[in-house]
Amino acid sequence: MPLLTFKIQRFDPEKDKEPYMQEFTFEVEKGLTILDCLNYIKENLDATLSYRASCRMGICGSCAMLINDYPRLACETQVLVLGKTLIEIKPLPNYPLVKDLIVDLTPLFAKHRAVKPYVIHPDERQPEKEFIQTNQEQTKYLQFAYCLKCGICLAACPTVATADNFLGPQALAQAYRYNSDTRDNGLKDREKIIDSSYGLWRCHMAGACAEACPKGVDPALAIQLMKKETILGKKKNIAPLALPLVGVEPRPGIPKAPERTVK
Amino acid sequence: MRESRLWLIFLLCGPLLIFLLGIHLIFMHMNTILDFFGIKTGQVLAYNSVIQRATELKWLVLYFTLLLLGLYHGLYGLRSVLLELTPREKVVNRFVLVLGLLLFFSGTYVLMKSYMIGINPS
Ligand code: SF4
Ligand code: FES
Repeated sequence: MPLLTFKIQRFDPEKDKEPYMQEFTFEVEKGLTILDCLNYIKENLDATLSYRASCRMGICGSCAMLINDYPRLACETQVLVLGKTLIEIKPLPNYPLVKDLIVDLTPLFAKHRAVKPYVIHPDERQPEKEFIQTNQEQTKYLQFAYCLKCGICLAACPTVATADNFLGPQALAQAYRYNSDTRDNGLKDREKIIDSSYGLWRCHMAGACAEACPKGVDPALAIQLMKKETILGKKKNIAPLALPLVGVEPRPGIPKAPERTVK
Repeated sequence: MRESRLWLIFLLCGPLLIFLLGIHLIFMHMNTILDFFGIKTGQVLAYNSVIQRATELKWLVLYFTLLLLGLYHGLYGLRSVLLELTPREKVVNRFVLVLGLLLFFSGTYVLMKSYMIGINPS
């Protein structure tokens, strides 16, 4: 088993003035992820090490950190695949530091919330039936719907590095995701925020967000497509509601659905 | 105004600037090439020629348009850079506006002054 050294940034706001690096050396077997190694350190070498993780399978987006100078998910990064005997782990850049490898993701969520990341229905009333959306219509936004809100793209973005107010790749990609959804009619509402001084037009198309995203989302593409739509205008079909089912009998033996509890 | 409009004007200024600057560069600095094609430009950079041009409507329009387009394009770029360095949007907008007006008036003054000298050399 290869012997690896982990150089990890430590910082306790109650004790330390500045972050510092601490080294841990131990043998690592094939198949272990960075998150496994952090767990090993916490359980066996230093219980005070702080980091965030939950699902350990690339779903929750909480274990994003800077691994060998590249923002990645710790649970999806195989240690030996990095091909290095020294592994440097730091918290994500472009966020306020909380402790050790934990950053404050408030800016990410605030920007996400600002673009109204939900289906805004064309009608005031709640729909009584489901929307009819074709596969092709769904394909237009599907890749953007895979976003985990891990915050890696903001850490990779050179504009976010200097412009705190810039909406950033995650929120802009989500604006595109909902603007392209045929069930949504929130284009005008979102336009005010995305077509502002700290919106779309601050993107330089560095493409670092698309490169770093662990889910293959391409926020840079979404931003360029929205720039085009903002200048040339966007024509959008709103999905029709399904017609009430007529003459359909449930199969024998299938119990009746319970009454709605939420009106 | 919406940011997309400001950006679009900035974008359109680019090719227009290339075109107008191209005219300026060709006539002022590429006389060897123009001579090759049989177009005689003479001593275009001599004082008298400069003053003479300052009284001709086509050159006045060209330089005034260049001034406007160049200022808009450059100042929008400067504003973009500043917006990335500070969250104080209003301060940046005012600074860029004041700087733009100062440069616009000084550029216009140069054009008018050379026009006056041109029509009234004494
Ligand atoms: S776009 Fe990708 S990198 Fe950005 S928050 Fe979503 S999953 Fe993470
Ligand atoms: S622990 Fe959930 S994405 Fe890594």
